[in-house]
Amino acid sequence: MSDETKSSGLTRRQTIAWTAAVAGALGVGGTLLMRQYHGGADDGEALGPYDQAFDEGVQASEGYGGDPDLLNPRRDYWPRTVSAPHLVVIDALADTVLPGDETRPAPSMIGIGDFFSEWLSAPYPAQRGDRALLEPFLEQLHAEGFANADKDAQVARAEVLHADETETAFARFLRLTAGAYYTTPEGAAIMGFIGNQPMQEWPGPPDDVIAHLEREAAKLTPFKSEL
Amino acid sequence: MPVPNDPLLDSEYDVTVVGSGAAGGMAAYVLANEGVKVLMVEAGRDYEPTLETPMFNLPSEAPLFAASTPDKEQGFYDATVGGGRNIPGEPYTVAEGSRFSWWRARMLGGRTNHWGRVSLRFGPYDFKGYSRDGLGMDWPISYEDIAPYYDKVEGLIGVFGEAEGIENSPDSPAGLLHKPPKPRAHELWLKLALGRTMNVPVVPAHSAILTRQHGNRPACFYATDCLRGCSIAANFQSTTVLIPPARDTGNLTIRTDAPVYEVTIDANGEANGVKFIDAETGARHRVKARAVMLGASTAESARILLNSKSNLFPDGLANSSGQVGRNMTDTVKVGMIAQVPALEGLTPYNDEGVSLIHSYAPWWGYDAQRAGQLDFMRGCHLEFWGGRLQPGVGDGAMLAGLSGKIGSGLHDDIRRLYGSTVYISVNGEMIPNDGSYCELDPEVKDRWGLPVLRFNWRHDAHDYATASYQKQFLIDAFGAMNATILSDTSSPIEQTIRAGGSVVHEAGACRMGASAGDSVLNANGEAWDVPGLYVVDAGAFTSNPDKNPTLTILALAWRAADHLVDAMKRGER
Ligand SMILES: Cc1cc2nc3c(=O)[nH]c(=O)nc-3n(C[C@H](O)[C@H](O)[C@H](O)COP(=O)(O)OP(=O)(O)OC[C@H]3O[C@@H](n4cnc5c(N)ncnc54)[C@H](O)[C@@H]3O)c2cc1C
Ligand code: SF4
Repeated sequence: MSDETKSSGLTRRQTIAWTAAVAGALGVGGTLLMRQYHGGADDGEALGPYDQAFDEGVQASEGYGGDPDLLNPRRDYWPRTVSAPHLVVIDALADTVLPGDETRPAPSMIGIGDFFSEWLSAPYPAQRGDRALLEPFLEQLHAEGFANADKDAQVARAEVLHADETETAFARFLRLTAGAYYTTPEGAAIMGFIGNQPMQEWPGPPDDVIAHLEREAAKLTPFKSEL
Repeated sequence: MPVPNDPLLDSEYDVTVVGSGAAGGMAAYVLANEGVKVLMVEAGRDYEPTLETPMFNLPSEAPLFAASTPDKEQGFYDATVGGGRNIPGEPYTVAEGSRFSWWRARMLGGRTNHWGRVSLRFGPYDFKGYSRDGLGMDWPISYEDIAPYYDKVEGLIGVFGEAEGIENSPDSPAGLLHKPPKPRAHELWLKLALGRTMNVPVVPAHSAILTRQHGNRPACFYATDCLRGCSIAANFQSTTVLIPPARDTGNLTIRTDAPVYEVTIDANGEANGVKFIDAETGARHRVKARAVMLGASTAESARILLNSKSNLFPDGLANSSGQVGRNMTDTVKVGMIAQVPALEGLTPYNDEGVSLIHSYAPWWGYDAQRAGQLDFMRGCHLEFWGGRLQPGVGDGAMLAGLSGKIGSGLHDDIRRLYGSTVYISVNGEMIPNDGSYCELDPEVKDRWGLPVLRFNWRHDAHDYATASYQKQFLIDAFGAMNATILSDTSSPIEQTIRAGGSVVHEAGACRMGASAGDSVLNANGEAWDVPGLYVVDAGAFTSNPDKNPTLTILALAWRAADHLVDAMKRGER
């Protein structure tokens, strides 16, 4: 019965995967949904009290501290320590999982390597965890010659990794790639984000969106408790 | 050890205000405008939103693409300086078996620089809960006492919202509120779906954001993120709305980087100043004043009192009732994320609006409670988060997980799924209990050698009944709209209910009441035991309704300041 379909058309397996996706995404930082009240730490994730890990995890001088210059953000607070061969693998793998085409630049074209080199060099516990997870994985792909393989071979290899549920390093890499890609202005536009433009009046959703929502809502039936 | 007067502060002040957030900012604003000479003493650094707010900076320009870190727990651009759940050198402890987390800020303006701006009036029932259902304690004031102050506060800070005629969610006088923005797509969906399936009315939120010119402050321009603060002062921050005009009176002096550790009293037991530490040098100073208003936030104000020990008050200042630090509450909250098929693949449009919530649902269950159908007695409200705001690292990551694909199909899925996830939080009232309080830790000291707080936390049966209802409501509501819940719903309610403090609505640690035996403050916010000492933050709350606290902090602080000014005018202080 593990694959029975729910009313929304998802299988139970898919739902579990989705739930895990949300839980996994939180460690990367706040999502839109978690803006108020603690960025990511919402939603059942136990909120530690005064947390020893914070003390042990970071020396104040290593990170950017509690009061960085927000108007002039920098991305060189710590030295980059990811090796050149691993950066090559990062570009190649990112371009495989999220390939570019005529309308969408490949991740390597919009700085995915730079993002990973900063992320994996960072002094914070979450990033150090990612480093520990991803470094052996990148090393393995490097040893396999992944970056030099032809496109089809790269896709085939990525698909094997993707299908293997024990490949947590690949899954993490995929999330980080998508997370970073869609945070860039190019990626955000591809995703359909429109904004950052001051305006006098905010127009609200367009008519076709409103009509669609009204149509969909009209199909719903009042909730009846099963009790 | 004698503590010298601060050399910079040798002049005389009428009133010392401790803290500069909602509470301290409002007290100082009112006093300074009444011609009272005020010294504001703030633990954190000076902060100037007009110069420091990263309005249009992109996430991808920031370290780690602005992701949360232990240094900036709500992301790089969040308007919290030197704060969060962990402040180096300023720890707190949590008693064995308790779950508590404490969010603080160390900056001028405190947590008002980044708060969620939700601004709801408490209603008539909220002040008289005990009389209605026997739980907790009645406030010594009623809605009628505070209503004029809600009017004044809304008029000053600017709040959008509508008059809905909803039971126990009072309407503001006509013309006072700004026009609310339209609902975004996900909010419109929730309005239609919750109305149809759950019979829950969704209405415009009340939020401290300007949608029209307000004095010299412009309307919101709908493009940036309020949680970073607002350099054009189109939302409410103490640092843009209260402190500048208070300074302009010439009556306000501000001392930053100066944590207060003691309130001093004279031979008659009346408040006559404070002692503070120069955070740069560690030197200790004292300043004198005729009255002290504590607005350091609920728990921190209690800590200052508990640390102010004297022969007269061996258990801490103003604590003859033993109630300082007791009766702490936070919001009882269950929240869930779900994915909504009806929100997939919408035509892209500018969804930014005012960046925070446009819609909410006030408590819909009074009839059911009167009919005896619910096993809890107080209210809840819904807040909705979602939409197509500027994505952060967590968003692409989550959507990639939802897609489950790689290759160009992943691109397509992410575009389709973007904006189709919503988070609903159900915020309810916690009833004070004798297991939820803060006290001085017997061992742990902060970097200045001062005892820190230890938090004890317990939820009681009524809280669990509330939380169980909240959880079931979300399961039913999301089910009825064919959404898939992505949050883990399997854990027991004891874990689902948010840890104490984690909703950042701590209240009650110096509650006001009708008698000196069971409360710290009288109905004016002045300590029963210590004339001239006021607590103006949410510590004064006798109960903590589902409605977010800050509007009420502002109203009560104004009211207390009026009371003090009147006493001064009468020559009584
Ligand atoms: C992410 C988030 C979202 C929120 N959203 C909402 C919302 O939508 N609606 C709502 O009503 N509320 C909201 N809140 C809660 C709101 O921020 C607080 O209720 C409000 O700021 C409390 O005001 P305050 O003046 O008591 O404390 P604060 O704003 O915290 O100010 C206290 C000040 O006192 C200073 N201080 C502390 N100790 C000392 C000391 N010993 N000596 C001198 N100074 C000291 C601090 O540095 C600080 O500046 C939110 C909070 C957070 C964190
Ligand atoms: S959304 Fe409006 S109020 Fe909020 S920061 Fe932007 S301009 Fe200011």
